[in-house]
Amino acid sequence: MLELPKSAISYSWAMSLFGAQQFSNLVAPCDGQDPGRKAAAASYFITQTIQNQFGNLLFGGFLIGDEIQRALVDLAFDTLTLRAFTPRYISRLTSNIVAQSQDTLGLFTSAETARLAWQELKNNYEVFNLVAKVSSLLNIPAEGKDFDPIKAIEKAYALGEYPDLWAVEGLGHDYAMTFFPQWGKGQPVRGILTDGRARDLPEKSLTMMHAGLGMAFAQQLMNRVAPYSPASDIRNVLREFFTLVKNNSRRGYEGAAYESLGLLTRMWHSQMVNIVDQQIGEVEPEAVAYFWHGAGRVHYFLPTYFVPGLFSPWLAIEREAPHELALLNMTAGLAWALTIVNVRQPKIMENFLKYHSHQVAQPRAFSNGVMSTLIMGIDITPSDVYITSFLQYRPDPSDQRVAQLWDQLVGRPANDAVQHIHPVLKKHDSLGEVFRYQNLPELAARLERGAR
Amino acid sequence: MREFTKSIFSFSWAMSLFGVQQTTNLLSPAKAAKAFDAVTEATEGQFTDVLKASFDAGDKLQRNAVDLTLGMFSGEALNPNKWIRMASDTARQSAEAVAKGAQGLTSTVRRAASTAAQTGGVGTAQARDRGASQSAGWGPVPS
Repeated sequence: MLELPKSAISYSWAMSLFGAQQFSNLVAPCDGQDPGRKAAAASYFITQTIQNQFGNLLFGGFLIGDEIQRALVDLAFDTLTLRAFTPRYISRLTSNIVAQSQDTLGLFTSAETARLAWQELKNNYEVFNLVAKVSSLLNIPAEGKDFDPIKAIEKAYALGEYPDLWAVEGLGHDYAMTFFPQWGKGQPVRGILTDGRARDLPEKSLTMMHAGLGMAFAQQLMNRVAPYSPASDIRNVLREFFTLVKNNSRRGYEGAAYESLGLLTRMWHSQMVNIVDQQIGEVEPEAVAYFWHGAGRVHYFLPTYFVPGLFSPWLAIEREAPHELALLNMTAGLAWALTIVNVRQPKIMENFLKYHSHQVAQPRAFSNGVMSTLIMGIDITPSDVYITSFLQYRPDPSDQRVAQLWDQLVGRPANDAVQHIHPVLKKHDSLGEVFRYQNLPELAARLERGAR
Repeated sequence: MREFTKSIFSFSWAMSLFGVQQTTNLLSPAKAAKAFDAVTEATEGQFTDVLKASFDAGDKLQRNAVDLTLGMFSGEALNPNKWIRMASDTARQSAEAVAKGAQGLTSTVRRAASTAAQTGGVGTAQARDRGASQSAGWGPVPS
């Protein structure tokens, strides 16, 4: 009991001195550094630490508030510098507002649309809860204590079709964390998912086990750098991440782990996304696409875009993508999440095509996301009933435009993916390839010809 | 300047929500203390030597004071040895902090003066910073 008042007073004392430190950083920067930069770096580290103390609800509130304040600060600066009065700026701002308003109003076009939006929110919340509570659901011991992954996998699959997928991802994370005492100190660790007890992991669990593995590595390593860190430090952290993934993954599954880096960076270190993009290009150029795929996928789960119709993640990825490769992969990643989260209600996808398909700037990437997620889904849960019925779903034929869109963007590619592409990727140990945007039929054909 | 403003707002927003989080944590005091300690440690990590010494001195003083205040109930506060030890610790650490503070203040003033002299005053320095941040952005400094 005595510790709480002591800690509280220490905290207040530290905060008072931090004010003095920031003042000193601003008026007398060390080593000729930009004074604002040093002060901003100091605030960043403390903000990150505070953020790590939040529960789920407050973390969501923090992210929403933070994104809004960042947008408002940008607007204020653009106004002060008169940039906001250029025709290009005004037209972009107006078109964003109009598109967002259309998106929000679309929710209220019919009772059915509102019901589907509500269902989508419930699905998203269910997934969020599954991921958050996976440890307790599978009785995994807390704080990285050792456990038997085979027994845990059996429990994950016992949760049934749909929850099993999310549980396996969480399990991969928790299993990798049991090795944290070694790799967290920079000691070389090998074979987390290839040796020991992991050797007997069922093949069907491997894609999302690798995604969880990558998540654990990224979560710990990304805490070591800030947007203000020297580029060499960021590259070292990235090198460590890729080395860990390569040393601990099964052949052909590395992509699943790489993708988690983008997901984690966009969720917890959003200011680092573009910086990591630049540095990955120098460390592991092949991983850039995976990185952006993860950054796109996470948009579906970000608190800001959690409520359908409030803010559109499709407009957000267009604003955020710094280049075409990023936009293609973010689109594929977001389509991935939209499809798999709502796979039990294909009507939600039909409704999306009806009202929001115009927001998808890259339809081929959208189709790729649908195909990839179903390949992953059917691999995790062979003969999944929800995926099977999703593949057989036919939209309302009275709306020809939607029926055609379904056929082009979802129905035909999805059936091709599950029936023809999945077996080829599995045969050639290439399932990790679905975690980035690419032409999957071409990839399958190349693999069959014997070339990567 | 733009990024600095954003980071200040982020920080303030996080601090406000941290208050809310700690209010809910009061139901489990150990968790609340752990959260305070984590933030204090991160803050301490940003201090220069001078402020670190001041922080340590003040922190030790307050911890002893809390022990003594709450020790009233257990009779600990009546132990003269404890008072003497606390007074001597405080005096020693305060002297250290003052000495480091004086050194630090001198070097801060020197740095501020040299920065102003090199750039022709604060106004010029800010103008240069604006230019640098526009051209180079806020990404990591290549090294």
